[in-house]
Amino acid sequence: MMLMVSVQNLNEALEAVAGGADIVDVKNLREMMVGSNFPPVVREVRSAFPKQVHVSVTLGVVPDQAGTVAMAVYGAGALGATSVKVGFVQSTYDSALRILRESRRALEGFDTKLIAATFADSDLYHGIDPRLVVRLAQESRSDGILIDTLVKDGRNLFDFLGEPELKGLVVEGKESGLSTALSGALKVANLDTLVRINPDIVGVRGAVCARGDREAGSVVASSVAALKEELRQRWTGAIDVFAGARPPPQRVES
Amino acid sequence: MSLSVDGTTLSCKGAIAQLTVAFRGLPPGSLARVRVADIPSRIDIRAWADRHGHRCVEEVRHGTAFELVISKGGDGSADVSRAPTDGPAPS
Repeated sequence: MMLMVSVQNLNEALEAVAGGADIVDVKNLREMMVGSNFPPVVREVRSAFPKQVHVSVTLGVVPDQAGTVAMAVYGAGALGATSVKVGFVQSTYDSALRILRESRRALEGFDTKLIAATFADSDLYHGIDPRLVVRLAQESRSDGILIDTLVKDGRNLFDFLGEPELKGLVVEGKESGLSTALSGALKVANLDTLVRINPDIVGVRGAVCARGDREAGSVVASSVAALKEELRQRWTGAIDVFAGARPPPQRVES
Repeated sequence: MSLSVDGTTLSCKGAIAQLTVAFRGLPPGSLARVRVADIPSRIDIRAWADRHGHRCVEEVRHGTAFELVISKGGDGSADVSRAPTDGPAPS
């Protein structure tokens, strides 16, 4: 499982990588909280690290304009991003599929992976069913999936989709050879569940920011390192990820 | 043993994808021995088996690694309506 940390600038990226982040996800919180950052920022972050440090670019929620999105995806490829995430909310399935197929074509010749993204809280916006993401990725020949959230009001991924559903989507994605990622205001308290679901990538920001504040706070290397250690303890069994999932022992009346 | 997959050198999705392809051509009851490097991968293999009606008939822990023997069930077709279930790892 790789740890992905959302960053807004080079300083945050340096903190994230110093703390052990495997992927820095460059985004712009001022554009719908999950929006795209500017090309010079992406270029600066990409050039600061060797290729084994993944630099992903998020396009956030994209408009129903295949040409515009394909051009932005091309930009991510040209900037040397490891992956580019294309997210859908108020798109129909057919429109999202068309946009992803054009994005696939736009990445020809680049070493950049295409990630289809939906939002677990899509219902709040009368949006596309987030469970369609695996099918969307399969049919568009995307390389991976991401399920995130848009609301940043204290609720998180698990307020909208349960563990069995997420596990099913992750396993289905892996069967197809897709990279699988989960994100959405995830906290240390969610790590047991996340390890049981076992996506390839776990994305965080608030959990590794000063004061836990994803907007006003900045990414702190020591918080990233602490989170990575919490994950490691669960991979190795030092922390039992089933401890909270087991039913309590039944009392036997004498 | 019909098949052996060393998932310790693969990502979780690599092991699952490899098993999915390998099991396709085998009759029900065929056995696959799978080695995985960590607890999350072990959970994945069990969830994958459960999802497709296969059974884990043996599981041995070697430190943080696991060796599982999966028996192919039924006709091997997917039953995606079933929620995957996981159990605690053997100590």
